[in-house]
Amino acid sequence: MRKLDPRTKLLLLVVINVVMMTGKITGIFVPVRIVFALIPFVLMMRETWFRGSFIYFFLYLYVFFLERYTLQDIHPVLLIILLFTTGLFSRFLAGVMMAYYLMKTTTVSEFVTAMERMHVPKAIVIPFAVMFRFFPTLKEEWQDVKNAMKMRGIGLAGRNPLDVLEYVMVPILMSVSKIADELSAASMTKCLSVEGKRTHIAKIGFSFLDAILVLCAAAGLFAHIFLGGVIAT
Amino acid sequence: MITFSNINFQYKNNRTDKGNLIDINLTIEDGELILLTGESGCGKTTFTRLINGLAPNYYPGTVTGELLLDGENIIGKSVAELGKTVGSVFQNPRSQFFNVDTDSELAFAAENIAMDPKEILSRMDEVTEELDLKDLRGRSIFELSGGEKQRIACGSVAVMHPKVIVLDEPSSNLDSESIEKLKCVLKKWKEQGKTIVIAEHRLFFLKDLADRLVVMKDGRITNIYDRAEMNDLSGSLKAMGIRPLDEPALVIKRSNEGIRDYIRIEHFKYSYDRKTIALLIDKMLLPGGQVVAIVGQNGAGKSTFLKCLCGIYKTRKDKILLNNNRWKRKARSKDCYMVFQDVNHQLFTESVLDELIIGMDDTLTESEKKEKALDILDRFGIKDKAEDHPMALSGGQKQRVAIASSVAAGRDIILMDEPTSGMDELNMMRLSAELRRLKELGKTIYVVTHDYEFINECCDSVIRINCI
Repeated sequence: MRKLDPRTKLLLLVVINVVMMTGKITGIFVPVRIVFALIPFVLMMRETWFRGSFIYFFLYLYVFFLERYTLQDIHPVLLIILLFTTGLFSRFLAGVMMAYYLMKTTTVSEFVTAMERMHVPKAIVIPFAVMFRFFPTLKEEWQDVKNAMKMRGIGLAGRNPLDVLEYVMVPILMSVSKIADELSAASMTKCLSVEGKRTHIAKIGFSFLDAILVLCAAAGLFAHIFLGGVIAT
Repeated sequence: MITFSNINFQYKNNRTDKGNLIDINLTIEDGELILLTGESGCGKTTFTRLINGLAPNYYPGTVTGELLLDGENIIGKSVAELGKTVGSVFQNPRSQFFNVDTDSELAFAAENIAMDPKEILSRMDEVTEELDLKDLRGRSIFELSGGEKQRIACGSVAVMHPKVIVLDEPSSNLDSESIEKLKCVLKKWKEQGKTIVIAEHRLFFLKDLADRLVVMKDGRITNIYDRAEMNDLSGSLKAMGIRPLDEPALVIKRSNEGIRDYIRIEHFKYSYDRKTIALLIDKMLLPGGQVVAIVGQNGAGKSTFLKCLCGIYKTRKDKILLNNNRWKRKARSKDCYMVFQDVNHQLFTESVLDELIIGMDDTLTESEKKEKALDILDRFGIKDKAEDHPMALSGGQKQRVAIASSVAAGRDIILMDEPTSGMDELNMMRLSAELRRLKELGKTIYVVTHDYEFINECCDSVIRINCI
């Protein structure tokens, strides 16, 4: 199976977010939204993450149609609550899944290669590249702290939420900042610097699938701009 | 050739003299393997940092004197520039990788100096062959064990063909099998004629590789021993606060002294992802009232065993009896207290005192709690730290706070995961004494460890868990 080019993934991430967050939810934008929600679904299916992709897609359809069609003639307070939650999900879910897909299927070196092909300065690329390992690190740290709290019998119930926040945040922040510090040192000894050219062993490039997806993204943006997709106008 | 002449180094932003270097003179020949040792804070890490340039470039400080690498003074040269000739392996396997997958990490340094991609790929294959990394290629670094991470760290250094390699306590998180693999890597590098400088507490695995043993204390070099002299040292090292050069044999005492209760375990089974079984114990009898060591290879499930025992992980259909009474998970989690390998994750509050008070019996009044907490801190010799932030303490002190808080919480069973990793002789002996004292107080201690010297020092029984 050919891998998608990281640049295609980035473009899709941007376009999905633009369409989902600022677009209308009526008329032509009903099918447009569904097509864009389908993109992460199809890409995840390609990676054989069947369970996750089905849960995602049906959840998306459910909240979208709830928001679009059924939320009429009900109690105003309930309406506000429902609109708020469904609106939040229908706007963010597809973008979050696309970001997850991007993180999971792109290696750091592929990402850096793609960014440098687009002539993005290293000072911007490096922090983004570190994000790839930030999330798994955070997950590991969180597991450990959660276990420690459980073991010490420090539960959430019956405590000041601010205290609980402190108990969680202090150890996590301490160890994440220590990791960041040691990581910078280690990267420097591996000759990482802001200046100077790099070479790449990662092979990236556009394929037929990339072309289709780029066209898709372009069509979506076109509809968004010229068919009045922006809510404000 | 590396020459330290009259080197002094003083860290900026450092309240104590810890880690500073005073009047260092040493010449390291090409192809030599230098083993640096000494108590925590003696300056051996700083020594390695001067060679790879992290001090004073990344860890600021003032340097006087000259440090010559092949005749050229390298003080003030950038870390990235030095990275072309000096490779570095660090202590913490969790924080030395920029990438998420192993292949990218192997290529990373070479890519940074703009090496030809074809050359990088061929060097990667060559290193994979030499250091036997085949089973680690193309994997996520987050799924590797500590030992595997250290092998990738060595591999990523080797791709650069560095002339000099410095390692800062590379073995502290490794079990004996992984240490053996690390030793193979070092042997290979030595055969290739690389100059190697290792700062370490655990010396035994380097005994037949080291050309010279350099002992440091309070920032100065106190003794230098060559190969022949090292062999006659065995007795005198302990007095200097240094771990033995020969790995001590495990002495199993089979002592029944102090045994009060028995914990009977049946059908203890745990798996992380429903496919691979991480722990499987059919029947087991654990003595209570003793200090019990739990040993076994990495991946045998020792840490998992502790986490299941104290109720962090849920085991299904288990049958655990304490003196023939059913001992359920809820009850276990109230009776047991676990001290993690990374103790940073279990200290939550803003002062050492609060750390003890938070787990105390709620029927006590605030002043009673405080009094009791201070009393316990006094026993552990850290009463003067009561108002300090736990994160401002040293590693050994943090560990003592964690143990003290288990006493404060009134838990009778203390579980410890690798408490002596990265510890010098002095701190190890102190911990041993503390554990023996806790035993006299009527506590039971189960400690997972790879450290035979520590086991001989304080454990009554040893349990081995094997891989399934």
